[in-house]
Amino acid sequence: MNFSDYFFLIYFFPILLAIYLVTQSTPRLARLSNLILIIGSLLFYLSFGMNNIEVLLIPVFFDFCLAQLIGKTRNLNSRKMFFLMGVVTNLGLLGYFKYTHFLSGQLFLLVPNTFLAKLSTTEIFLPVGISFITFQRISYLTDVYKKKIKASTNFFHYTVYALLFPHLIAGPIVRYSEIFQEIKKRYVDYQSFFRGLVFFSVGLFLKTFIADQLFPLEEHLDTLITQLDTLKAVIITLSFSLRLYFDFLGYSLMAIGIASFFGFHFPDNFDSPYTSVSITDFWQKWNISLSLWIRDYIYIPLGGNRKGEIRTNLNLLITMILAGLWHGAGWNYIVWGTLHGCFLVTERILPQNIIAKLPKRIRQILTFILVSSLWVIFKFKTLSEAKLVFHAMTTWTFFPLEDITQNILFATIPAWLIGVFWIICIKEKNLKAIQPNVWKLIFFSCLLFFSISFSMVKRSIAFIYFQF
Amino acid sequence: MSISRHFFYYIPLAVWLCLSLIDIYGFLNRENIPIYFRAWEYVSNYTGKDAGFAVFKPMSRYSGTMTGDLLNGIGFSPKPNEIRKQEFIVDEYGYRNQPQLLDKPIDAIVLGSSFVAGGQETQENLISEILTRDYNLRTYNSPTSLQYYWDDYRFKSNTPKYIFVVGTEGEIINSLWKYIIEEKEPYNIPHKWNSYQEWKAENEQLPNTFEKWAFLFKQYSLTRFASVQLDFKLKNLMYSREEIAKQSTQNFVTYDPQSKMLFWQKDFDNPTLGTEGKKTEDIVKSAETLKKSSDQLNMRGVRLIVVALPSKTHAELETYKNIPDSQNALIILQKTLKKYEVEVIDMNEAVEEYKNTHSTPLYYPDDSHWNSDTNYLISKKIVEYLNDNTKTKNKKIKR
Repeated sequence: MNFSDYFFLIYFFPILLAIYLVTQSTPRLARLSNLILIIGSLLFYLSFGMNNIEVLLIPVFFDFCLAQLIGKTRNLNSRKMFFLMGVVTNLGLLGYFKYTHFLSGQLFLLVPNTFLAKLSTTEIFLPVGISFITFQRISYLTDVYKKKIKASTNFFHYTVYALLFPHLIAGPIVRYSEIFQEIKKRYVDYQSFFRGLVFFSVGLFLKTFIADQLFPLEEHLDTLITQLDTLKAVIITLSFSLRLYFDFLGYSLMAIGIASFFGFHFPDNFDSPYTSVSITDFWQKWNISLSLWIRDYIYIPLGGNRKGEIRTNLNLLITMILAGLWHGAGWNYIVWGTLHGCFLVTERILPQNIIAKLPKRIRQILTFILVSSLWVIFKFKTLSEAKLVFHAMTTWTFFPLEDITQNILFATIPAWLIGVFWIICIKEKNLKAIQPNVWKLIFFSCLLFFSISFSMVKRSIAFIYFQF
Repeated sequence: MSISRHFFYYIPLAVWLCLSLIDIYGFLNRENIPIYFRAWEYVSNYTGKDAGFAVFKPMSRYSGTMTGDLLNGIGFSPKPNEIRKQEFIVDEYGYRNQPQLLDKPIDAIVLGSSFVAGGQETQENLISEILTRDYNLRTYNSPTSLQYYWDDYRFKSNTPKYIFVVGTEGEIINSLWKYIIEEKEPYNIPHKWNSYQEWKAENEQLPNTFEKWAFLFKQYSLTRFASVQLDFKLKNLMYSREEIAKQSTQNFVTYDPQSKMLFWQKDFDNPTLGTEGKKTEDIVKSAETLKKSSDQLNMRGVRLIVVALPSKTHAELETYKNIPDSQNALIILQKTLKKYEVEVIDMNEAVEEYKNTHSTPLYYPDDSHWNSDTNYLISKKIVEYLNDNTKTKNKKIKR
């Protein structure tokens, strides 16, 4: 069940929200609101199938107990042991479900044997959202271990945090410290309701009207991958770049909106990343919750920038390779992460005054071209496909577009126009500042119902980040 | 939660909940609110069973309207004259016949694809109904393959005199449903259902996965139906059909402004000899397999008669009106079948004759299938052929 699916939009969410608001209406019933959220979250997760539901549920109890032990144990070695136990278990689950095929396949190439061959073809059902869930759990255990937060003593409260469906599958990665007060007590007033409406309607609009509309173009051009000319290679690159952005941005805004309807305040996940002036700037604006997580739980523990210039650059590179690998088990993700790491290091090495001399607009355009080109590696499962696109881009050959390509391109014009307008003129952070009034209520309500109606007429495409 | 002073901020949720309630109501009353674009869907069997054993929901009946199957594909809103009345009757075995037709001896079976099942046609205009009613030739409509006929135990005792294999030239040359009969004893005894309710109680089980439920809810959604209709209406208000067709983003349905007709996979339906699926070797292979099946059926006392018609592209597009006989795949097919001593009715000539005397098309402009006039023409030609080729002259079939 996607946030933009018919069932979610017409049955699941409005009914769950209505029940939730009833529980919020009196203090006596308010005690049930967390229970409603847990049930709703379980139903949401179950909609992806019964497979591996235990992978979601058992670690909730396990991590809760471990955090208790970490919090209560005074012996440093024991604390460390409990912490490592938690981290290893969570990473082990992620490793088993996400990387077994890839690693065994690669090892088989080096040391061919029947065990590895069998392992690489064993059917392993990847639990939806396991990458995000794992990071969230590790952040909780780490924060307790480092005494940044106190371990939750209420299993019910921890379960709400661990299962809360708006951020369960594809982020934003919310830390316990950010919402534990709201888990205990929160209010749904007209302001949070209006904020939810703004974020949800805008997110759904961006997802259905831009991201999903660009998909047929990309799908069509994918079938012509071996016959691409420069124009089509550029179109496929820009199309995926925009689709990925609006797909993930749409999802993140909807997640923040849903949380707001329930009285939670989730952190922002985007800050106009396609107006970044450098790759460093881009990673401060794209998938912010992931970038911060990587910084706090990988880069800084590796030593961050405290151990000299060479070590800092190495840490950056390692961090980005791991970030690439986190996205998926494939060489394309590793290469994509490595290249981002290389560019981050290059930006650190290059004299700042040379970069600063370039006009801001030029830097923005160059960064956008670079980021979009790197998305090509991210998009295709094999590097040979990405190579075909890069080759077509550089051969400078142009063929007339076929009728069907022209028609599909023509049909996506509104999505391109609004997408480009959004990138240039709209700042995601400004959405928070929209103050409630009747006219805005009418506008965002119309946007919501238009987007719902539009999502029913057009094909519903799964969120790209759901696969991670 | 403070609702009182700012109650109007919650109005969107109330409207949203109303949409949910409308769809819940629509789902619960799905049997009584036909929002389907054609009867075919209404009586289709979604149980996943082999189509040869239960094509439609047995003993079900649909009486309503329908529009062409190509309209939705391209995004045309139906004009009033494109909304046709349709009655759809299914027998006790799941085939599109009057119930109890097989209780008495039958004379013939019509075999083919959706052209025979009559996806777009009301009951009284089906070939089987016309032959039974107008020519007193009790005919069973069985849109399955020759092998299903051969395996079907019902036809061992109730053996017809004739099997008419009906289809377009492309179907006769390439479709698997006409292909060779394997010699074996009939073993399939289709279940005979007394009522739709009886079948429903045993077969129409509730979905067991979320995906199937979600699909079902979406299929029967009134809000989705209204959204799609609104989208179509707006698009058709803003643009002409030609403009809509030009903007179409799919390859399957094309619009010909000259004939004002829609075509399904026009490029693949080229009737010229030597084109995709219509090479000489394809035709020879088809004739050989039909000959083998015909010989086996003759041993059971059944005559196999092939009725091949020009496809919609062939019959209605100017492009293919003057292709020479030597390049006309249908004519070559008919000649080859005759050479292999397979009985074949010359529909090419019949269609030419019809075109010369009538201004109306043979196919529905908005549908991939031929129209009722063509069904009457086929029935008439079948009867004429039987009269000309039946040894006992006193048993001539009359209208």
